[in-house]
Amino acid sequence: MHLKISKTAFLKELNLIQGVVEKKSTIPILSNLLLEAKDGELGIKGTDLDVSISTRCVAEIKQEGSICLQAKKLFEIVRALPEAEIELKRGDGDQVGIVCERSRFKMLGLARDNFPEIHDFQGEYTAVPADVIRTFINRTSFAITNEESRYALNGAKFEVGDNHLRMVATDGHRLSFIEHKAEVGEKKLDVLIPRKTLAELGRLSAETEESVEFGYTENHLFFRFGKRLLISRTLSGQFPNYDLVLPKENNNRVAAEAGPLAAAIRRVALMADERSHAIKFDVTEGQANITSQASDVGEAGETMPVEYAGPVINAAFNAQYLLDFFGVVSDGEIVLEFKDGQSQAQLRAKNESDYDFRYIIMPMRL
Amino acid sequence: MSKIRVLPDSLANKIAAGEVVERPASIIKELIENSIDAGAKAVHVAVEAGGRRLLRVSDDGEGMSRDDAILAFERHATSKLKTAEDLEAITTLGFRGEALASIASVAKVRLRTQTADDLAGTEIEISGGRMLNVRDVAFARGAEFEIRDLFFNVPARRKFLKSEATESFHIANLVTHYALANPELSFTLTNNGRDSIRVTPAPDLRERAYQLFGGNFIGDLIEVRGEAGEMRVRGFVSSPSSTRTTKDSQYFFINGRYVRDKVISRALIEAYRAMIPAGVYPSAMLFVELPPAEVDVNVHPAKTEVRFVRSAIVHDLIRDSVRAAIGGAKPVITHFSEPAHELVEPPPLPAPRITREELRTAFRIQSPSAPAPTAPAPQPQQGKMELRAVAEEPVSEAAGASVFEPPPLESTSPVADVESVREPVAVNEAPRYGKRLGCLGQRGPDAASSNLKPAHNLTLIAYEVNPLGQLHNSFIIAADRTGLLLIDQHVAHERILFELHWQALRNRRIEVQRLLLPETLDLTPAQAAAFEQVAPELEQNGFELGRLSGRTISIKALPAVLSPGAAQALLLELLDAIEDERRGLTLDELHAEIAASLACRAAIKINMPLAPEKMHWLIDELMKKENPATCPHGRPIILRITAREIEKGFQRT
Repeated sequence: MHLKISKTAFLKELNLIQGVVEKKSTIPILSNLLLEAKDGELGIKGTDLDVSISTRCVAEIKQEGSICLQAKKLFEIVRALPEAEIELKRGDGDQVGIVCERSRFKMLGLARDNFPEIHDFQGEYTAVPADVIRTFINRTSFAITNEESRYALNGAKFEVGDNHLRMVATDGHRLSFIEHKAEVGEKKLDVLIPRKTLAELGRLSAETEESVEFGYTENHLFFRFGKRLLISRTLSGQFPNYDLVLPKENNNRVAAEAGPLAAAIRRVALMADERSHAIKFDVTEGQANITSQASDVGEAGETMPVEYAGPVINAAFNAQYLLDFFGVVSDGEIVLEFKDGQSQAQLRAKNESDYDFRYIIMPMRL
Repeated sequence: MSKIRVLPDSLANKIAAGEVVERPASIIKELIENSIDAGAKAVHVAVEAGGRRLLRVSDDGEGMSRDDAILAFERHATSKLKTAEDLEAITTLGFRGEALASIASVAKVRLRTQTADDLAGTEIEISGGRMLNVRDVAFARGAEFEIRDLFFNVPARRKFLKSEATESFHIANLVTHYALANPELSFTLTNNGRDSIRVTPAPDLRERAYQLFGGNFIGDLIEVRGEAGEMRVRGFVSSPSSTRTTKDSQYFFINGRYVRDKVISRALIEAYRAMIPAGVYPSAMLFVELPPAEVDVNVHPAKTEVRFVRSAIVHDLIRDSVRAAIGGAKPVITHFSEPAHELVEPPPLPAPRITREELRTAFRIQSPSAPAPTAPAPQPQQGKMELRAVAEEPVSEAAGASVFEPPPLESTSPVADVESVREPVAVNEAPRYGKRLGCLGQRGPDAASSNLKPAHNLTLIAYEVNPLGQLHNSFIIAADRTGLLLIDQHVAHERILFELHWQALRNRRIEVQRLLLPETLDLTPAQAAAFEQVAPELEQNGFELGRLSGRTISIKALPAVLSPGAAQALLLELLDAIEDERRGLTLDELHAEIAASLACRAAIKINMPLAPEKMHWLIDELMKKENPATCPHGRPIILRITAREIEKGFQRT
């Protein structure tokens, strides 16, 4: 293997692939990247066996070949090199020489046979705009549970139907639901995407303005961004039936400006109990009174003008759950929809035409 | 119909009943054993009001002829033994011939039975040992015992019956045991008309365990198989990564008989040594088979105790078989991610409170033989000074003669070696809080808390304690009238914070986080039996639960202070806790654990220089606490070297 490659292009791909390579790898080979020089391109692959990224980079190939190199070290070296052309040459045994202007490195590599086989998708891909995927992940991934023991909730549900795409995530206390209307062809899809895959998917889709293509086999998901390919195992398990959770009769609508309401909640939350983060919402005609109380510390309160004309509502929420919503909907008008103070409440952005985004949160009982 | 006279040994039966009929579950046990010995294929058990009102066991076994049925209620009447030699090789579950006589003497019993050869069945009614009625009855093959009004004629015993929930729990557990031991039979248990166990014949133990406990339990069971000579052990144990906080899910059987045996349980714990943290236990179902001559089951009328002729062999066989089975499985940090040091800690002592005598022997401590108000400090070993944990003896000379007690905890270690004072203690400690949430600190002795001085004596000292400086930026060196004090600054601060946090947690209102979708949980038969009674208390503590069909419950809301996973674990623990009637404690203990972990993290660490004012403040606050001598994890906070000891060290006396 002998090739010349632009530092900038090489670094960009190495940077994108770092996320999947395990930091504390159990199997040593998994902390390596597989480099393959072939057909005028350098192929780069990294995997943790659950998630893999495979990408390519234009290079001047003098001799084809392949090698596995330590991912983190290679990234650090390339990052530190000057902006110039880098020459990679496999010498005796599994040694690789890296030369760039006046710098010389020698890295000990491993033969490619050691690297695990990465699944490939032969079928037909379906295209979705990248910004839809980006918005989907942004609006749902925060609601994924942090408890690893709750296996089926450790990811987001992704559905492709006749004329819509959907993503749903929940931790049992709140649920994030987003839908986008679009014709996406014949393919139907209903899978659970693991948390780590979502993070990588978000990173990769942020790098492209075009479309993301996806494919699906029984156990694997494939997302293609031009020359980059993300491969992931699907999450198995029974995701809860979220349709039961989506409120049907939340007719008491409270409308308010997102910014000021979020700021008020953030202030009141300062005096909420440190463990439960409970704050109270008392909504009467035209105003919402938000209060909190922490024993031995003190209390806080704020009265917000809101658009509301229904019956009195008294509800309590985990402030953190509310703030998570305002983390993704930070301006414009929002609607808080109640049935009563005990049933699930729904938050939505008022004027959002492209997406049907709903955030459902279960109240607390104080 | 022959009239049977009142038996002259009816009183003896009543007395024997005290041993055989310990509680309703023991009656069920005797009757199920009879059914199994009679070759039954199906055993049905029905219970009302925890067994006070009704216990019924029916089977399709071989039944009894009329004469046998009448004779069966005689004391020492049994079909299972003929000669004394038989006793050496017992192959049936029952054999003593006491059970029926005992039961009949303390309850109203109706027996209906028929053999395959009889034309008509027999019904016998007995009340308090008096046979009331014997008549023909239409009955299918087999036998049915119906026991009503248990202990109706022994009010004293009746009073000692535990709550309905507890008795139901024991009965459900017992039927579970027999269902496990006999997978080829079908069992039903009906509690107040509700099915709590219904299992059809199963091909093997794994299938039976699945019927009883569901997929979650069976999921990570590891099969155990071992043999040594004529002894065999088989069964299942849990993987080291999934353990319980109680020993409730350990089931041992010897030749098909459920037993509680220390030899087996010790072997089991040894097999798991260093693989699971202290305070948690593996689940296990172990069936030991050995020649009847190798084991004596006739130790106690209830027959749950046994003696092995060669217990060492049994012990080693079980330990090695289990160890080999779990050998492949790696130890895994439990759900609560305990710090590493806990993994090697020894299991806790069964009783948290250790008597002083035990402490003395355990630690090989010298102490004065009799407490005397003016006793001088005990004689230290030649050339060594005493370093005394103030733990048990915060004020000696300073407090004046009236409160003086002999120092119970002394060590003869040299002063310099502070660690060596702790070490022997750490081995025998009873762990306290922080077990679940973990703490940076290592735990120390708990026994110290048993003998605290009144607080006013301590404030008197606090006044006099004068910080002199810090050792290694970690220990405060202070002096009072009695001598020198060494205070561990981290644990001292920890103790102060612990009490603050604990108070706050106990006084807080219960906040409840409702769930978007109710979660379901499958209970074991015993937990299900206990559920109805525990439910109101659980609701008070922030759980909202509902009963679905069978043994499944739904969880609608959980206490907001806990993560859903931790809340579910707590729920199971609370349900299991019913057996020892130690409910209610658990939530408080949990609060203590949370407080201990908060305190440990917030407390100043070692290797931190302290201004003199801060040392003063620490000492003052510490002395105000209920328990200034030990940290929440049980470690000592203050070590004392008395002036007298110093003088002795310098050989001034």
